[in-house]
Order: sequence, then C-alpha cells, then structure tokens
Amino acid sequence: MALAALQELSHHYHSGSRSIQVLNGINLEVKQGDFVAIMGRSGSGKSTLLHILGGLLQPRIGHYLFKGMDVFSMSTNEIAIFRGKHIGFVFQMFHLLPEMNVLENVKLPFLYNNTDPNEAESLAREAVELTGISHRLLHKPSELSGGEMQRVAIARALAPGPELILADEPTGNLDSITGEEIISLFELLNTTGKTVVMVTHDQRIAQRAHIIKVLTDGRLQ
Amino acid sequence: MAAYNNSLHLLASLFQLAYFSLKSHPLRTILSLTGIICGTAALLTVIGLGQGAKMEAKKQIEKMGVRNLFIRPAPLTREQFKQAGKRHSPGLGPQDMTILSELPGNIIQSGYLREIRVEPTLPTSVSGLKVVGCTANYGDILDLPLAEGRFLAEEDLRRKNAVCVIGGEAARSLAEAGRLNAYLRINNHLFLIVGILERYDTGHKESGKFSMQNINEMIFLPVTIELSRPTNRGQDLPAYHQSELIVEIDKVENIPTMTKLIDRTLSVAHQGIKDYQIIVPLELLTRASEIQRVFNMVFGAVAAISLLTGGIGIMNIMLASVSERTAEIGLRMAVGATPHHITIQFLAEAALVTAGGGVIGTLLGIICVYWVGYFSHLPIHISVSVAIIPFSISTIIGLCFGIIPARNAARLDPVRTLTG
Repeated sequence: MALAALQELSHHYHSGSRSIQVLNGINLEVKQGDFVAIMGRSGSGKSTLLHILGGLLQPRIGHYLFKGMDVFSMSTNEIAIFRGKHIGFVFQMFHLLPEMNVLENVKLPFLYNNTDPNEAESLAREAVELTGISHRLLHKPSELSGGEMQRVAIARALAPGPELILADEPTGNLDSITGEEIISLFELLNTTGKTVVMVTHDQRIAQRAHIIKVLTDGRLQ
Repeated sequence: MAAYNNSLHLLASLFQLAYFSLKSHPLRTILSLTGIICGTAALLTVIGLGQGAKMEAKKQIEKMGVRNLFIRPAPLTREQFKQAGKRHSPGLGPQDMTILSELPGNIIQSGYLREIRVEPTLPTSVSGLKVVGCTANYGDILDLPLAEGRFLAEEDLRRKNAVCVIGGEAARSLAEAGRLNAYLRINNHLFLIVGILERYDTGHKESGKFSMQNINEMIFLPVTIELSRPTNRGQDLPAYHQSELIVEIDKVENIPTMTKLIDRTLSVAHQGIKDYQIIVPLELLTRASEIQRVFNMVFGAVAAISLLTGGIGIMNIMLASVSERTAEIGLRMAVGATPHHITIQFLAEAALVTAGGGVIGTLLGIICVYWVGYFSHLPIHISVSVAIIPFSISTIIGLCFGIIPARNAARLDPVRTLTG
C-alpha cells in the first residue's frame, strides 16, 4: 500500500473574477522509503501539491489517502494532529522562531503532540545530532548561517519521527556548496528509511532523488 | 497523569512564548500595560474609599444605636425665634421626656442629656472637658462601656447626689485628679467620681457625618442637680445650654411610625415651633448608602471607562502582534498546532499583559487609597476581597479584548501565512 496517494486531484485559485487551474487530474503514489523530486516552473503548482500532501490545503476535487486514511474527510483539528504525527515540513525560508534557541526550535512540534517533555528533549537532541548541528544547540537563529538554519529546520521536521518529510525548495536560499550539503543530508535520511518528497526547480538537485516528477500545465509527468 | 503534565507543559510553554513576545516589544507592551494599570488602580481607589466610607457610616450608626432616635435643638431663623417667644415654646427640655414617656406603645426608654455651661476647676494642663447632666439610663441606651465603678443611678438623681462619671479621655488628662473616688470641683461644689468610662470610639473626628457628642471628654452629673453661672450684674442664671433626648424604640420596623408620632407630639408641645430636630440613625444609614451608591456609580463608571481603554489597548497590541507573526502562526500549524492551540497562545499573551497590569495597578491602587486617606482624612478600607475585585475585572476585560485577535490568529490560512 502506498504511504501517500493522490487520486484525480484538481485544484484552482480565484484571482478576482478569474479562476486559475493549478492542478488538473493529479494521480501520485508515494511509497514508504521513496525519495521523490517534483519539478516545475515557477507558479506551476508544485508548492500547492506539497501543501496538499502536508494537509495544509484542501483540494477542490479528488482524494488524498495517507496509509489508507482519507485525509480531507477529517476535521480541522484531526488534520492538525495528522500533520503533527505523520508529516515533517522543511521550508525554503527555514521559518525558525527567532526568540528560541536551536534546541527549543527543534522541540517545537512536541508542544502539540502530547509528548512527555523529557522524551521530547531526548528526541530533539537525537535529531540535532543527526543533522550535524549539535555544536549550536543553545544558539539563536540570528547567530546561525543559512545552512545551519536549514539543518535546524530539518532536525525540527525529523524529531517527532514523521513517516513523510516534505521539503519545499530546501536549497533555494542557500549557496551551491551549502545546498549540496543539505541535499546530502536528505539522501542520508532517505537511506535510514525516511520518505522524502521535495519540490525544486533545480534540475541538478532533483536528479539526486530516485523519482522525478515534472508538473506542467497542472499535470504530473 | 502524563497527559495532564503534558498539558501543563504546553500551557507553561505558551506563557513563556507570550513572555518572549512581549519582552521583544517593550514600548508597545508598556503602553498597553498603562491602560490596565490606570484602570485597575482607579477602580481599587474608588472601591477602597467607598468601602471605607460605608464601614465608617455603619460603625457610627451602630454606636448611635439603630433603634435609637436623637432629638436635638434645631437652629431657628429670626422669624421662628420671634414666633417661639410669642407662643411661649419652652424649647427642648426634660419636660419633653415626660411627654414622650406618656406615649403609647413602642418606646422602651428615653434618656435626657443637657450641656451645663460651667467651668470645672481643673489643673491648668487640662482643657476641653464638657460638663453635662444626664438621666441614669443614658449610659444604658448608648451602651457606654465602664472601665471602673458605676454609671449614675436613679438614686443619685432622686437624692441629687454630688457624684459624677467621667469619660476615658477626661480621666487620662486629669491623671491623679481623675481617679475613682477622687473629688472634682465644679462651681464650688465637690463631686465624687463614682465611675470612669472606657475610651469610647465615637469616630466624630474621622467623620463629621453624625454629630455624636464626644463622650470621652465629658463629665456626667445627675441631671437633677441645678447649677448656675454668675453674670456681670451679680445675678445667677441657669447654666443650661444644649439638650439632647434619646428615645429607644422596641423594633426597627416601628421607627418610621414612632418618628412621625414623636414629631407630632413635640410639635404640639412646642406650639408648632420647629425648634427641635429628630435624627434617625437608620435614615442616616439609608441616606449614606444612597450617597455612597451614587458616588460608586459615578467613579465606578470613570474607572470602567479607563479599564475599557486599557482593554482596547490590549486588543490593539494583540492585533499588531498577530499581523506581525503570521509566518510563526503558519509554522505552528504546519508542525501540528490546532486552532485551539493558537487561540490559547494569544490569549496567554493577553492574560500576561492584563495580569501583569492588574498586579501593578492593584499595588498602585493600594498606595493611592492610603495616600488619599492620609491627606484627606477620609475613612478607607482595603482587604484581600477589595483588592481582588479590580484585579479580576481588569483580567476579564483583557481576556475579553484578547479573544478577537486570538481567534483571528487561529483562523489564518496556514498556506498564505507560510508563503506570504
């Protein structure tokens, strides 16, 4: 059974009186342990697809099954809990909280999933260790480089042990060498059994994935 | 238990985050705190002074006796004075007590006191003592507490015994001369001190609401003893001045009827001249409560407006905070926060501001109450329950005004917040 499956999924946005079709009859199966790259031009709808996979956006048409569960038949609260339990997000802009240090940022998801504080601490330290940022544990984001911030963001996505990691242009804000390091980290995570779906417009980065899907005119090829 | 601990941890973390957020915008936080601080302090001051006045009034009434009526001479206009002379009104005197004692029903007892304009022979260091003549039941009606000896007895009045009872303050200032069984010289007569009163808190210095006689500085003689004062022309005139009648009614509910009856009776006895006034402590209490209620309403409204402004300040800071932190809200949703979590987080911020403002406002209010009380000599009252009311009101107002921004935050679209 696929870990995540999108079935006949379509989505459009309204812009004034115009309706813009971004996704049109998408079918996608992501299996446990896959490393998928979704490519496409800017505005092609690849981020929209990622947001749907993460349960942040409900499509107008179609179904999203995660381990057989129909995600969008759930209530708002249930979807939030689903996200906290099964999904880890990595964003282009890192989205770290500036008032918190590295460890506190990584521990953030545990705040909402009823984890014992001691266990949360230990899992967060493990994730920080795995992403190679443990020497910056008590530093604030403003004291970190771009690559370090993205490592913290990956540790935060990883720490609660989600089955699916969704990365939206994870190297988009980094120089090529740092981008390379980050993509290697994703490869490493994938070898440990994590399923990764990554959105990128960079051909070179996408080629590091096992499966490459290209989004053109709202359709996946 | 684990779930409970985790919820507590969540709440503690949200409060910590709220603290960080407020700390990162000190000026904005201080400005929004100011409204709450002023409102809470104003409300506490109003309540503290209001409660003080209310308790003081109640204390005074209790001292006067709720079931007692006080009848005192009323000041007359020139015209009334002429009329009184024409109609031979005798003014307030012991004869009125006799008239009232013949009234049917509800009068338990009545007492009489008159001021005697004589100067007792006292050590030079002592001044301000007042000599009065009174009936034997005067102490009983006012429930005057005795420190030593006894109060005047019927026997003293009947036999015109040269005895006296002195107030607590009088005994203190007379020192050796004011001991039990010592003699006081008044108008060349010696009076044996048979009783000394305990200091009696009339409160008349703190509040002028009820003109209770200052019992502490009085020397009580049997009312039947006649004293005179010498004049320049060599004649002696009676030395009596102000009089006071106290009537004790059996039940509180009979007071209005009896007041009317006594008024009519005295009016007839005084030939229609209104040279007396009837003071009803119960009415004074009601009037004091009404005045207090108006005072509370007016100043309470001012304080409420102040708190309302504070609440609007909170709403303002919260709305600004939400619009500044949309990306953070989106991220929290992405990592599993439910709308409920987001609402609680922003309410925690409002709660911190209002509780912080409430605590500072309460402390400031307590200082204000004592300060106003010290300089204006108004009675004050501060207790835990008095302090909790404005604190609670300000916190509730803050939370109410925090709800709209918090709900706005919880309703944000996570995709827009993360990509916008």
